[in-house]
Amino acid sequence: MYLNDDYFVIMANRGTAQRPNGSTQGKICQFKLVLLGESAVGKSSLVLRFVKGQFHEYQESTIGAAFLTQTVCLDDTTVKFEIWDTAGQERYHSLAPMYYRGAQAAIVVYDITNQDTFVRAQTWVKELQRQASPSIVIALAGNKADLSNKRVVEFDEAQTYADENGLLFMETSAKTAMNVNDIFLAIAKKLPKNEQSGSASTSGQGRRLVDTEGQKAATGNCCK
Amino acid sequence: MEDYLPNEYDVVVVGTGMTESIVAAAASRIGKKVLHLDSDEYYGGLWATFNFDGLQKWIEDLKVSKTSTKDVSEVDLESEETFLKTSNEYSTVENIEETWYISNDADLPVVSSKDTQTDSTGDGSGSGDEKSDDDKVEKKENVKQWSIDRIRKEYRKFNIDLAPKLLFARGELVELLISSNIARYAEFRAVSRVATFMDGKLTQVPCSRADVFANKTVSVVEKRMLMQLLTSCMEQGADSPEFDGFRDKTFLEYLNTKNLTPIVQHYVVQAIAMATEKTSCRDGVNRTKHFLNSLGRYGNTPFLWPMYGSGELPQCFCRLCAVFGGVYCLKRQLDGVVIHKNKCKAIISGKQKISLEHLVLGQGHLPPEVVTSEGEQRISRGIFITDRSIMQGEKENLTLLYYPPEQPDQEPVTLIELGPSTNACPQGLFMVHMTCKRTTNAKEDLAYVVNKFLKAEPLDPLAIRSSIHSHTQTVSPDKRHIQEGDQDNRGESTEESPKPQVLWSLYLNLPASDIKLNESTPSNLHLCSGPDLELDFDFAVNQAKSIFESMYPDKDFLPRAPDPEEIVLEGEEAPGPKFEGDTEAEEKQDVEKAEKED
Repeated sequence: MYLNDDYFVIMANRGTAQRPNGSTQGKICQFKLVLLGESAVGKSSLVLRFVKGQFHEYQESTIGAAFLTQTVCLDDTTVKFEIWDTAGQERYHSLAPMYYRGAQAAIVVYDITNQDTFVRAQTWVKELQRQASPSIVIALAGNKADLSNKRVVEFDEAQTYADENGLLFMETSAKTAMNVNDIFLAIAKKLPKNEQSGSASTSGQGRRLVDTEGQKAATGNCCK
Repeated sequence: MEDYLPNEYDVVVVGTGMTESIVAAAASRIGKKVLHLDSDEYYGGLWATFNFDGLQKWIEDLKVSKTSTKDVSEVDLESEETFLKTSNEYSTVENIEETWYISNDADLPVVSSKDTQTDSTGDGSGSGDEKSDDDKVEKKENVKQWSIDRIRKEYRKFNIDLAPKLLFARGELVELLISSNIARYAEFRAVSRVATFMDGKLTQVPCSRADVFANKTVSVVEKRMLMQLLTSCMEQGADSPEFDGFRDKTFLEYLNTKNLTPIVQHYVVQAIAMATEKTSCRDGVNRTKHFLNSLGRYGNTPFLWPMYGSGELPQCFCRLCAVFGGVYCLKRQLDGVVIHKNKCKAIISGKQKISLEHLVLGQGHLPPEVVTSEGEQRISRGIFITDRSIMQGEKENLTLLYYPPEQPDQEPVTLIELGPSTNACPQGLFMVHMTCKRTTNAKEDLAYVVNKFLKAEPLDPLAIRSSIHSHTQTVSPDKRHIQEGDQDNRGESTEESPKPQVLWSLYLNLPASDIKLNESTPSNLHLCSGPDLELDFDFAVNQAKSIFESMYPDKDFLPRAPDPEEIVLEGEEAPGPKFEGDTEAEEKQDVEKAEKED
């Protein structure tokens, strides 16, 4: 079985479609979102908070999670995020370009208690502007906002930087959940939800998903 | 400056080529502690894909020697340890030749500025008469003109493969990507046509049963003949009694006994089996079977092409390795290996001595002491940016062409033509990859095919100017090219579309892929070869499998990785979507049972 556009993502047949209740008639758009930022700024914690509602103070580097998914409902549209974590490849500055290939959104995270991570965040923004898709939606997250007594990066400084570069900006706390859902929601609102991008492609330029042996699961997963 | 890495691992992998990356992923997947290094700042080594800028930098860097300057005396060795310095001599790329066939912006004719004026006055009057329409057409053509500057400026829109490879839809790699669940990291496009050169022109080979029957150049009798032959290859395989008498004969000798017509024989030999006169009957049958087996799974042909290039695939395996805890460090030089009692004990990298159980080395990082044969399977490569397809069709195609040698001293060439939809190049251009076994150097080895299908002569800017000015406005840009192209067709059919103009080309020779280690090599040192001559990745997959099996004989090779929905974290209560925009409720659920893991 094949699609007429000759465009594929090979997948094993796992018909685990996540169709949120009550939105079966609405449009479902799937987007690839990548997290970037220095080690230990709380990238994985933000995802865990958003996807699982959890927080672990001593979160080990995420093992075994290629990416996690979470859906956000906006009026008649269901936005499904496929959230990619760096898997630690940023630690020695060795992130593979395939990581942000085809990403429609990125959250660049820094730690408000650490100036270096803010500087590094700006490098990531530049990298994305140079290497990623030109239409990528970028959000800047000043994480660990619960530790404001140790703050070194001022809110206004980051806001000014974000404004100058056309980024969404929020201070977040994975620990208290402050602004975590909000930043994902803000991204969801800003993403284009037309037919093209909405038809569940990770790269926004073709359809995603093909089954392996022509079983019927193909239609259930993420193609509309 | 140099990062300090933890210095004890189960497996250290050096080089991020295809085989190395698969081994790294497989070891990490079963819980082994993996360190994966590369001396380059990019992934893939000789399997890499670059954008135009990256490729230029790669070419520049080849001129700089990267061999370690470390001396044995600097290495801190314990008793009975020996130090073997590693060398990059087995990954040497030779005979690089880059050529531009177009000009810089500055040298282009100034027609465009003149046209801009025409256009602006046209805008003012808003007239819709024919003349102004023609002006617009001409202006469009000028805007589309490719210059060196423009290609450099649009560098991001190119993905240029050092070692372009296809996947058989039922080949080892597709099966592995699916079974390991690594497939979700990559995107593919199907090769949309397999072409062959027959009776002086390129034609599309009918691949599927439907194609065969829809084909008008083959008679009904021939169709039956073809289907019968294919069925016997497919169903019976090379061990069938059908092929008993041909065990030591060639595929061609077998086919000759089948009374096939020339067309049918041509399809089978040149397009389906991609065989030469020397191909054995067994290989021919197996290749035919492999081709047929992969039909009908994805798209019209048996082949898939990785979006953004072949260089994406090693990165997919690296990501899986990292996801399961593998440590990644690029731009990190391997200086040498430490041997103790005929076992690799550690590597030396910069100031660090890193200990290991198994050492997996790409062929660019071997100590010369362990190499017994430098190999013979060297590769000639040609890469061309062109202005049109070798075989223009109604839609954009992704084309595979196998071209057999015309002379005894030539090697068969595989040609892959990629269009913009693969992200290989911007709209309006094509990327042609040619690959063959090296006999002299890349440019000479490929010349007969380049001359056959491409126009690789400098495009004189003055010639462009005169063609733009002299042609009457009724001649469409396409026809204009046909008229130019005809001069090159040397009396061949005038119906034939013109050859693609080469805008830029790069020739290079890749090193041998069949290096052999000597018998006394420590058994925990494993060699990963560079890109081989075959069309697909199966060689790398099989090599990675056998390395993994020799390291961990009783472990599963890349068992399926979990899907996002299946990931359950420690302390998880109610999994599943919770997002309702209700942060207050979530705050209450906030659990701070931070438990330190032992």
